[in-house]
Amino acid sequence: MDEAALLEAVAEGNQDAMAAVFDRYSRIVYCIALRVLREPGLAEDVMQEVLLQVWKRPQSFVAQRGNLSAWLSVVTRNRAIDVLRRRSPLDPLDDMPLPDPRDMTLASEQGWLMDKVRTVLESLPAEQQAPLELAYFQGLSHTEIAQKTGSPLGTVKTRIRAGLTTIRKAMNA
Amino acid sequence: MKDSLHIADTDLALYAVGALSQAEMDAARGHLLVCARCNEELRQNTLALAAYAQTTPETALPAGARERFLARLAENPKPVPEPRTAVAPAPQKPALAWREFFGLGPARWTVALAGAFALLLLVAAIDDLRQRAEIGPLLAQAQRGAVDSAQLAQLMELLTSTHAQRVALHQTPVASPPPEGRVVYEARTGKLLLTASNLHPLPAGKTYELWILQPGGLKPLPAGTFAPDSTGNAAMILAPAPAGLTVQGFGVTIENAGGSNTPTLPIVLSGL
Repeated sequence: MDEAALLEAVAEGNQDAMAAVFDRYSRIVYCIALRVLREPGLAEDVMQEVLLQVWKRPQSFVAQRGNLSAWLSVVTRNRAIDVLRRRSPLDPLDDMPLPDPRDMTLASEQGWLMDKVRTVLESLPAEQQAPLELAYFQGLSHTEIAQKTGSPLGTVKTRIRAGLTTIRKAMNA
Repeated sequence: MKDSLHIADTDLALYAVGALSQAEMDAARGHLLVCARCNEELRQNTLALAAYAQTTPETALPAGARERFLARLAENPKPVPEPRTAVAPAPQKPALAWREFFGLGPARWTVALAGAFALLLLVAAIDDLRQRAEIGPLLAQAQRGAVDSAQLAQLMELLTSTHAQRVALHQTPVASPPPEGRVVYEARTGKLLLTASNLHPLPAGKTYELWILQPGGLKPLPAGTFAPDSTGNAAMILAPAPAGLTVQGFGVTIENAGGSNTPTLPIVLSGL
């Protein structure tokens, strides 16, 4: 069953479809939450919350015809950062559409793209990877990253942008 | 932070990863309300970050995670599905990246709106005076909380759309616009410029006359006569006027052809 059909079934209250969504996406959701939180219990809590939102309100996402795994990834990271900062969630999950013109619903295509991104990231020197990692997965500001790494603020900013640019180029290549 | 009309790409990257300071985030937010270019750039950054997140090495789920989730699923019965009707679909939420990653719920968005909205009027990429006129009343509505976040997004899309028709509405029948004018006077050189519009036509033998009003009860000085064209426009370009005056204001009266040395009431235009 493709992603759209799966979500349609979820929207109709089909628990088997939701179990299939769990089987398809729970691991990446959990792993992203764990990468941020580094605590399995908290990561599982975030995973449950995010996937339960898909169960409760799939309609808005279906309408967007976007890429569910990308949406789940961003939402999970944001939720995990919220937990990391011990703050209440700031945004309803269904308020975060992420339309992707590529509509990459095929797992194989998705996997191929992630392999490309992973490869280019691994080719970056560690000092260039670190600022993006610290910002995105630890929720640090540019000032905090500069203090933590001992790098000038301008260098931190440049490296974050360079990291993003590298990923974008890999995605569009 | 901004390079002329747009947020710098580096700052947009920092915004996407949430690495800007709160003040910088707020400033960017105001601009993103209206700038399609920056929204698209932000969207691309966010897609890249989604891919970045998905490169996370996979780890096995904790034992029993699936069973625990399915148990919670059973505890959360499905809400009644929204009825499907044949009417036109409700407007979709705008695909603007700011809604996705600002980290603001509707209530917070409305609160943030007042400052951000005022800011955007000054610094954002709205350079069309008609749009500014349209946004002014919206700002007042937003400040009263009468415009929610979803409405605002749609309003901004509408206002910045290049495909939208714009029609000015007037009183019917169209009321005559009031006469108005502007004077530029440089005391050092005595050079003077007057432009006026919407002037009423004059009967034969009459003319408009400009007066320089002086402080201290001094007598108004005549500064030239002029007559409107068929559309009500008139101008005196670099008209000779006395130099070195301390000017309190200017006035326009209707005088007999050839002008007068003393203004005749009423004053039809004035500015102090």
